[in-house]
Amino acid sequence: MTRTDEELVARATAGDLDSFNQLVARWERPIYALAYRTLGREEDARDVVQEAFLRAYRGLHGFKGQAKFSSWLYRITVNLCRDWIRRERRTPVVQVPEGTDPVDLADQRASPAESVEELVARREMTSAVARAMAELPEEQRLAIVLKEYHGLTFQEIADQLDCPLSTVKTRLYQGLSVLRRRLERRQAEEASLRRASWEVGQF
Amino acid sequence: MPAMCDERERLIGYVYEECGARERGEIERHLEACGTCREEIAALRRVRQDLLAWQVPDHGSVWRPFAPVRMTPWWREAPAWSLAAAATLVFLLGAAGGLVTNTAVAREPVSIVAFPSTGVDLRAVEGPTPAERAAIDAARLSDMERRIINLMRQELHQRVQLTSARPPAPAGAEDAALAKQVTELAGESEWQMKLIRTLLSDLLNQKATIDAQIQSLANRVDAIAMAQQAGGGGGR
Repeated sequence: MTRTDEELVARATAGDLDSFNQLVARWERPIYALAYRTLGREEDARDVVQEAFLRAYRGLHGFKGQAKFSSWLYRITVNLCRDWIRRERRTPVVQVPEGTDPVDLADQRASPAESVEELVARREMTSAVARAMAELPEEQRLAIVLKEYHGLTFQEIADQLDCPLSTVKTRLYQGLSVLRRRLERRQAEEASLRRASWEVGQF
Repeated sequence: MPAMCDERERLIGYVYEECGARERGEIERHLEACGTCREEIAALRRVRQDLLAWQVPDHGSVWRPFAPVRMTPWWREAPAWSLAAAATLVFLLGAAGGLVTNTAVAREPVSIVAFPSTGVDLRAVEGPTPAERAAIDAARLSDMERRIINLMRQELHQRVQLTSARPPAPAGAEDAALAKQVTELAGESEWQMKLIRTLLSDLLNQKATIDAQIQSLANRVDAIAMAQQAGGGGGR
């Protein structure tokens, strides 16, 4: 039988450690994704996830169920990410998997139908998006991550980031506009390179 | 230029389908007439599509599940170094707390000194400044961490030596078992250090709160002393 978050929280608060382990198993992946996309580095994301669950466990008695468990956990993680960025005083460092060996790449295809060229293009797009996101101001990046990858509503994002709903819309619009310009510039540069490469091939 | 072209943030609600029916109708009517905003909407949707390409790399679980409740007292199974570290920690924090309590009360004794009935110059026992106290706390924390790390290293070293001293087994199996054990111990040590750091951080936060409360009480004592002094002076 699958228990709800609220049931697991109640049991964990009463001392059932396995219930807390189940909550971790259920939420670790999205929490890791949130930390990774906000901080851009796997080791940092791992540390933040561990810290977030430790804090959640220690704070269970203070969690009165006034919000969803997931919202509470997201808030802990968002605050830890913000603290992390301020403490390290750095913008996220983007880690993009290296290596373009066709044999290695062949193992990473999303589906057997995906060609190696399509895979390379997908990886380049991943890299471009990650870099463009890393250059955004922290608050715009967080708003986009929470909206695009976690599907929060404007109001939920406003609650997470402690700002008015109109500010969330502004951050999303400004962030997406900056991403648009950067990605379009990159696509233009790629098209230019392809043209140059084709022209060289004609000789 | 229509007003909506200057309020592009409104388009965000439309792009994410989070606007009311009335606003949606207004935006759609505007889009029928405004090519610039139509292009803006299309571009925002393209960016959203591009964002889907960013996948999170696969990773193993970063959480070490809590162990089930032990039937024997935990301290019987705890390694000696952790008991020593805990004792050191309790002792040092107790000492630090005592020092803070003393210094916070004696830190700003000016008005108490001026209170005529005491006649004792408390400035003679004035404590360190907040900056000095922070430096002392940081040094203690660093020293404690260093000691704990050393103890953990010794423990790891001893366990590895014990494993190496066992009767020989087939080389490959022994190496693999040893490597596995070392990896597990290293992971365990890292995990325990993280727990200890978190606990230390909590304790320091609690100390800061108590520090602030003591300061507040000292201020109130000062205020009361000054009020009494002012009342006494007025009566003379």
